[in-house]
Amino acid sequence: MGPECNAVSATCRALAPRVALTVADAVGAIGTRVVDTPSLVVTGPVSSGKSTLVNALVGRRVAPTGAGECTRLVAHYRRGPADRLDVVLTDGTRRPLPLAPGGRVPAAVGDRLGVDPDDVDHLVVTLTSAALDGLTVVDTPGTGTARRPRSSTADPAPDAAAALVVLPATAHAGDLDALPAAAAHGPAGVVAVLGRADTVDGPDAVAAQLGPRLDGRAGPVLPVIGLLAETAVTGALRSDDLIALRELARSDAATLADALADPELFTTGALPVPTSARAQLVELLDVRGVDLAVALLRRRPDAGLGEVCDALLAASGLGRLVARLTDEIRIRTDVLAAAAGIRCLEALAGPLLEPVTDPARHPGRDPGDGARVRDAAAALRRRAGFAEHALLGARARVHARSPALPVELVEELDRLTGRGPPATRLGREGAPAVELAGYAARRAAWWRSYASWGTSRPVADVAHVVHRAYVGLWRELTR
Amino acid sequence: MTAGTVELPAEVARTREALDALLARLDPAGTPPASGPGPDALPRRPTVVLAGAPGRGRRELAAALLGLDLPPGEARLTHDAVAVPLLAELDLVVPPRPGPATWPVAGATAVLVLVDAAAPVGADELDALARVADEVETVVLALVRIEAHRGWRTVLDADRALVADRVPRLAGARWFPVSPVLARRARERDGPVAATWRRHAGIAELQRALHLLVARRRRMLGEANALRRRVAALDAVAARSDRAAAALRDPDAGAAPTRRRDELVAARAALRHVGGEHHTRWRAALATARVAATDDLAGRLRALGVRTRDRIDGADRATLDALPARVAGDVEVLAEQVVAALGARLRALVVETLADLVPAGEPDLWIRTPPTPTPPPPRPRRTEDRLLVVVGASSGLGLTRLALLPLLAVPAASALGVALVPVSVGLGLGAAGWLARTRRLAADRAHVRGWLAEALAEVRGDLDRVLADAMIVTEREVTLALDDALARRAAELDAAVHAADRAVRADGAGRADDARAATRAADDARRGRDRAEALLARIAALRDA
Repeated sequence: MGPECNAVSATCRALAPRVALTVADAVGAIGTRVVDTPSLVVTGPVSSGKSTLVNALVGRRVAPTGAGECTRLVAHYRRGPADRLDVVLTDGTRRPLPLAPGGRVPAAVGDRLGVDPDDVDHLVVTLTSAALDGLTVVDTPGTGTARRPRSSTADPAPDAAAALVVLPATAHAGDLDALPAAAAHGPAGVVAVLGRADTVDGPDAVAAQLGPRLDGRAGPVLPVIGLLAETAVTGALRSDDLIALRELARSDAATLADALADPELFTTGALPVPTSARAQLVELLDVRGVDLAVALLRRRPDAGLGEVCDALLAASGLGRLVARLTDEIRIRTDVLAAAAGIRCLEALAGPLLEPVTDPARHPGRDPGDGARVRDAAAALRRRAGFAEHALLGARARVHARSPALPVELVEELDRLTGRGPPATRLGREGAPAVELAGYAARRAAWWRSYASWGTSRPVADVAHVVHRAYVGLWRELTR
Repeated sequence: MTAGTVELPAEVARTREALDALLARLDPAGTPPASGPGPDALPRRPTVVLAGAPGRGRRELAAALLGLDLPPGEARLTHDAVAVPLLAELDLVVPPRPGPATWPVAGATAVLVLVDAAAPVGADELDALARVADEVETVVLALVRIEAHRGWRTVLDADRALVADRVPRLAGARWFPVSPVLARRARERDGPVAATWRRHAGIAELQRALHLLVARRRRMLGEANALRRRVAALDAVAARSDRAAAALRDPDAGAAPTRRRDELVAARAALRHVGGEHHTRWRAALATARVAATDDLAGRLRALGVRTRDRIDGADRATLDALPARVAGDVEVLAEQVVAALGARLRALVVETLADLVPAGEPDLWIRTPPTPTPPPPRPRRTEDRLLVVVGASSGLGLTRLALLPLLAVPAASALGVALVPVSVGLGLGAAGWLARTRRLAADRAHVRGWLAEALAEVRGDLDRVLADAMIVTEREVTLALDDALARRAAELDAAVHAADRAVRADGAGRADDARAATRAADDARRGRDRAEALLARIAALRDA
């Protein structure tokens, strides 16, 4: 674990003996959690394609997917020596359960265990997938559902360091309020995607509009075709399917194009491939994927299964998503997990700071505890390392064009947010330290004047963050 | 037409008027729904308003229904603007939406609600749908974008269940799975493909349904909407009255006066019981204090005796000579200590006993800790004076007075003016001391030892009497004070119980009346609602026939 997480952990250790016993337990848990494997919570409205994307990310068809509301339970996917499923009940006990055939999480977990479904708290799925190395993935039920009462929708992962927000094309800013803390406190540590880009006309344009529509709170939105990614990565496409696709590629192009206007027309229309094979293709690829695969096979009739999968994977946008997850989350888990720990401390302090109206209900409550926890969190927020978190947030906002900055400033911000040595971050490789320090000081002054020189509030906020980052660099270089 | 159909309009009008009267009676402050469009205030042409969450594509569906691209920016689509058959008998309206959760449906004869096939209907959407269903009787549901979502049948089933759960009235409503996108593409094509697409788009069925529903039966739908608004208003009145009645009947809410009365009665009963208990406790405590004080005195005297005997054994003549004076000083200190300890003990006892009688928070007029009287400044005294004090004081001055000083701090004693106990502490120390002077040392020592035993016994007797007197006085005064406090407290409680009784009787009667009135209002509202619902069911049956 990195310096920021260690600082949070040390603060928690120092704080615990100074507060009441119940508070000390919570503080201790935060301190332990922050140095544990950080988690990425996958969240978003119902049926936006979260579980499909989780399957694509872990490389297995393990989470149940389909039309309607599929995921009813929070599931933690973590790296382990063997594939296994544990059901964690609300009283904290763990009950092992075999995975369903095909390695899927079975439906109706509660019934299988012979317990009330309401007593199941969450699932822990241990997989040998390398994609889970150093980052636990938490799949969550969709938000905004009418099936559960609104009051019972507690944060499924309050301590998550980062969030993958899967959005439908119609998402609006109000949708973000219902998301877990890690996603609602973006945009640093939040990667937002348009999860079912194949069902939208002009996905790139729709995704580009989504960022500003969400006030930049989720950062830029990446269009992803979760289904294609899942199918391509998990090896679900078989040679039978390839044969059917080849057959379709050889058939009349215009007829096929017309049939692909609607999945049902494609399945039921007059085409040279059996209906069951077509239904299977729709399940695996949907009409957009069939179109893509057929187009590839028309260009290169001898293309094999691997090449088709590669083409589907390239079209799915999963590569760009993984790159963004790496750049914005994986290599920055230290600062993100520390920020999550601080958020947990602040959340703990909130209710403690409220005046006690009924002392009988809060026995042993010390009114000073809230202030002590809050002050500890504030001190952690003031740490120099925390500037990186602010810089990440500023970059995400700018990329979501909320606010929009001139392109050369966006490039400068990208460079500054990079993880290299100061010379790289300043764009002055090979220059001596003195020159670098002078440059950092000049840019700091420039951004400060940019912040104050008649700019709008959002731009000024970003400019202040950049200014502080340059000041930090200058300090580092002149030390 | 059947006879029922002929009679229906008249009955609807009658019902509407009856409901208006009912609403005016039950909810005089509420805005009368009568001001909403009745049959006379109906728009001249029947109107279908398109509603749905943002991004559902209302204009796209309107375009599909009309079979052409829409003129941009027009909210109301009329036959004058777009000459298509559907608009010959109804207007389509796509009102601008003020917010994502607000679906304006003002002036609608029927509402066409759009739901996306991508996901089951959300909580916010259902809330908005429920609000719309309270205003407009006829709601038609369209599941859009079925061409993009291959699982739309699953979603449709989930939607039906959710709507039936949240808006039971719409459980049997017709759903139209449609695809405006396919309809648009079909317009740009011809031949069998276009026909297939058009058929699959499902727009024609929706058009037919709207035409049948709205254009043919607009007067009835207008009446039905007017009734529906009244039903919603009556539902609100019934719910409010139910809540009011429940609040009035709630034992917790009405319990404040009753609980206060019960507490007072319990306190009064306890007092009767506690009165005797107080006396017993007090006497026991006093006895304990007496034993403790006597023990204390004995212990201290024993220690003094031992100390002095040791001193006598190792004393020379001069020391022996000074001994009586010294013993006198020691006895004085000892008496002071014993009486101070007794005083502290009695003070604590009195405070504890009486404080217990007057509950915290009640005005406390009786117990007051008096300012500790400052002792008279110590007069520099010579040995002779001290001896004099010790030897012959029979006038209530000297040791007695000194010894009783701490007792003055006992609140009861001081407040009630305890007379000082006249005690004589004649020790005869002086005479014995003079005798000792004339003997030889050894004999002197023996003599002094004898003298000491005698003197200490005498001191002990005197101090015992002082203690006993203090005890007697304290007991008498405190017992009187206790009786007084108990009587006073009992009188106060009796008065309070009477007042609380009166309050409970008055309150209970008023609340019961109010609760009955609220229940009656709720029942009336529900009866009116049921009557309207029955009529609406007949209208719906006729409409869907």
